[in-house]
Amino acid sequence: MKEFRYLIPSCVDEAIAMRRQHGEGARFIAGGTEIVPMMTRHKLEPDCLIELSRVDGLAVLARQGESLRIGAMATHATLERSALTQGAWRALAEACGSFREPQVRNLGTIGGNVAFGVPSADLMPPLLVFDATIKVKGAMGERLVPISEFVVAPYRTGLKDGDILVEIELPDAREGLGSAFCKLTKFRGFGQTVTSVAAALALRDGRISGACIAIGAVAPIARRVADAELFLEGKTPGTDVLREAGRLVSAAAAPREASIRASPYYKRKVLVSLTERALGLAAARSSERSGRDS
Amino acid sequence: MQLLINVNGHSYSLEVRPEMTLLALLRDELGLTGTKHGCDGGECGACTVLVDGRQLNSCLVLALSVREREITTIEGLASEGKLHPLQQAFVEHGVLQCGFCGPGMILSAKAFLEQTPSPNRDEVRRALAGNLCRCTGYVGVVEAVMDAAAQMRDRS
Repeated sequence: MKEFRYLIPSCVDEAIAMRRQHGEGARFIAGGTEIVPMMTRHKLEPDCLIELSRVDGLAVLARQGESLRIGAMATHATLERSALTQGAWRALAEACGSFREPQVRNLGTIGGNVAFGVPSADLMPPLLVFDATIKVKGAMGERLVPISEFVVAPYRTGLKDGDILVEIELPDAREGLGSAFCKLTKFRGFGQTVTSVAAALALRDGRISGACIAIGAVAPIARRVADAELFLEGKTPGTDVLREAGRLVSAAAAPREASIRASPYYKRKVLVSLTERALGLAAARSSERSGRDS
Repeated sequence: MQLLINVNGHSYSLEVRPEMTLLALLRDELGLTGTKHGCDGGECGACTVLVDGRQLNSCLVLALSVREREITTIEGLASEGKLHPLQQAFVEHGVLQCGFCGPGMILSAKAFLEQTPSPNRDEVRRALAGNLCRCTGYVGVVEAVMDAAAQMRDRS
């Protein structure tokens, strides 16, 4: 590993100031699960690392009114187990629990997963279906960015030089919202993501209301599938309906020819079943939750 | 930079370079070579140690980032010359062949059993999914962890 300076800021503003002072050779480090191996393998050689993992205020996990505030430094393990993510927002807990290694779940952070902008980032599909908002802080102050506009291209996000992803907010979950995250990986549920689907919906008198579906690892960036969402509105979640939604989701995918994970043909094919499964689970959880509330 | 750290119950104050990983610190500075250097990418789990009781890959962690934390390595498990029940169970079940994955496996299992004292076999497999073995497979590992769990329950 090339030599670098290690800076330990005590607050977000100090971290931003350090980044500005040290310029482009400086990088923020959160859990380090991505950048430490890149540095070990000489793929990344920063002059300076600015530590975020112990900065005050970046690890919040709390309800604010009906919404959920998730600090950027919340780890996958924390979000997987928290009581706050077991209800409406369960798709997020499932995505966090879907990383193979418990060691990496203990270290990796939600902020790092999102800020890196990897096409296969597992936390993106759930954050998209929950309409998350990203709170970014930089030299110009604070701003809020909808998750759908945050990642603009593979490995490119709305973060400008020196910006810090501070927090992710999930807005008020609609009554009776049920959600699920399903992914296919190469080795029985573990390993690299071949494709992933998150679904969230509410059932009103047995009919689907406000379905949201997002896909990961089958397009340059994770994205919602509006065609399938519109199709589902007002329908009963029977086998045929879910299958048709799966077909629409599959048709919206744009997998890379050169993907090392699976062929585009295979990705499209499994996406149908994976969508059906995610929607079925979300529907079942919605009725379960409505039953409990009433 | 100055690093205060506690490893296996001993406090150390050391001068370290920022680019030193926790793995390099343990092996090269402290001579604790029970922690193995595997893939350098957080995939194989051979370098697993406990930081404040939680399992982490020490190859992914910069030593400075765990300042003032408590680290447990495989060398810290036996007490008064007596093996930890997990170590004993690994011996009795003849789990290991080359042994390279053993320290990481045992530490992952320890962190897991502290949260889940009465696991089933599936839970054990999932808990050890971050520790790869390239010799013997996982049947013996799972049996040994189940056995150790039972003994640890009896003891407490």
